Amino acid sequence: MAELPRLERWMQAVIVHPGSVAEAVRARSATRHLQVSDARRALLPSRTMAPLERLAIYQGMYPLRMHEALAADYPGLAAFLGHERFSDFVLSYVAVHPSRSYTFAHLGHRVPEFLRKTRRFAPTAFLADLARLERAMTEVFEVDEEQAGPPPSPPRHVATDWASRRFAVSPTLRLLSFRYAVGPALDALKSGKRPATRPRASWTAVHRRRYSVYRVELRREEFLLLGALTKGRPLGAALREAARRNGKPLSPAAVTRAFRTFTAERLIGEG
Amino acid sequence: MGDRFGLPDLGVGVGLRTVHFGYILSKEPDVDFFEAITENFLDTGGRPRYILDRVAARYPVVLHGVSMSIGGTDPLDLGYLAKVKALAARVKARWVSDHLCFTGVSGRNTHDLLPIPYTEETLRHVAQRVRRVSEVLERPLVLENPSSYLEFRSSTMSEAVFFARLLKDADCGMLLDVNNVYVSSVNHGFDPYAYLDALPADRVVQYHLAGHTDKGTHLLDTHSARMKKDVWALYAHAIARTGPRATLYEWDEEIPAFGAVHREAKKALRYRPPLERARPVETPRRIARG
Ligand SMILES: [Fe+2]
Repeated sequence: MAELPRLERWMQAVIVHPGSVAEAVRARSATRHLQVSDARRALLPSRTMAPLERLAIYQGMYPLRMHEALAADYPGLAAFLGHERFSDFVLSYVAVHPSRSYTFAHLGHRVPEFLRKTRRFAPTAFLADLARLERAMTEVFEVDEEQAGPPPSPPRHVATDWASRRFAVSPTLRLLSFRYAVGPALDALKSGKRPATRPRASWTAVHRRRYSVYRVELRREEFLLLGALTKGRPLGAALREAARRNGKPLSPAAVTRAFRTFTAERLIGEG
Repeated sequence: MGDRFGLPDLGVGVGLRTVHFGYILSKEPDVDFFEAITENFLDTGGRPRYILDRVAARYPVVLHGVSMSIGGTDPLDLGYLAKVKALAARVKARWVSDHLCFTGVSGRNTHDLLPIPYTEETLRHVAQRVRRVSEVLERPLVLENPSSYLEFRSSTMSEAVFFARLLKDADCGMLLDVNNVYVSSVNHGFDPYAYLDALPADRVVQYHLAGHTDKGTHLLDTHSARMKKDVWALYAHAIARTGPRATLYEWDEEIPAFGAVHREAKKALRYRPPLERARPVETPRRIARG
């Protein structure tokens, strides 16, 4: 069993190397397992191709697969960076965070964090926010609806004792706040336009209903109120908490508007 | 072990692909069976699994994996196998297949089907892993021959001989991809008919059909476009040896409308009989009248 593990480790080291195949077989990651001279002898030529050219077929396909998988989870990021820069991003990302799972579902988990740390891809803070939004959408897409429970039914209009009323919140809800308006940016990118990248705070709710993912842009007071309701607070306490975090009470008009948004988007329902 | 473990001929099926989800659910096309890529349905409780549940309620389903790494040298991932087993039970999978290859080592997954050297050492190693997987899954594992683009000098036997011995030693089934046999035969310069004739016919559980792309220096298994005439001829030869077996068409690049893929799949009926379904019982002639 000594030969097979060595051969497999060598082959993998060459395949995941970002340089040419000639560079890859000379890299320390490969020569640890097989010397360059042994590497050439390990493979057979074909009628049309030399051994290393054949290995290069596999090496060439690796970044394409990673590109495709990450672009599926981060279409906005891929569109913003463009094909070449996104490919560059993919190679540097998987060099640090290669797939360690049987599924691609986890490959992109650390993209927002990676963007923030490397700072190689500008504008860094904007891209990290955009990636965080796209990550949340992927995670909500994957949520187990059987475990999360059904979406709440629409709230009944009962006038009595509104302050002690509790509302059920969409079980798949994710509330996100950003330094950049990445929701509108994502819309722009999807329609082939250039998004605004100046800092502008934004708040977004992402949730799923009947296996479709919905993204709702919120105002700040809506974000604060929904956050308080998510903690299971009755409406009175939720309004007080939102007011405290807002620095001033929410106006009646703002509360009315918030409830219209929450119910129209089915973000909350009967508790 | 009896004739291919008593696994049934499922007729002519199509690979379940995201772009066709809506069509399949709304139109319920008359397809004999579907094959789902196992890993796409493992860690999700979202729409893909919902779709697969609905498909499984209406059609026979088989699971086809791409990450088992049966030829790998890392320990088998028992957590993964437990999930595969649970999914197979959930969708009543008629069988579970994967590929004769490794997909990564040292904890990594390249998500490719990488070739292994065909040696006695590899044979012992893979056979022991296949037996272990079959024990865990509590069903025979079915393994596919992948397309390959390189060969190891250390191989001491052909892929066909390796496969034939593995099927017996590890008591498993084969998913015979005739397009992969063709692609590899051109890339490595062997006779694809000799390859087919070297396989034990009673171990072939399923066929794969697909198109490939000629890159000039080699053929690439792209699952794009229609299957080539030479490959249909190979299928005709293979199915004449084995008798009718579940046959599935894979289309993964530039995927056309469902009907076009299904039509391509049904060309298999030129070479194998249609699936015999249970006929409705004869209507009784005499009807009791009150
Ligand atoms: Fe296949």
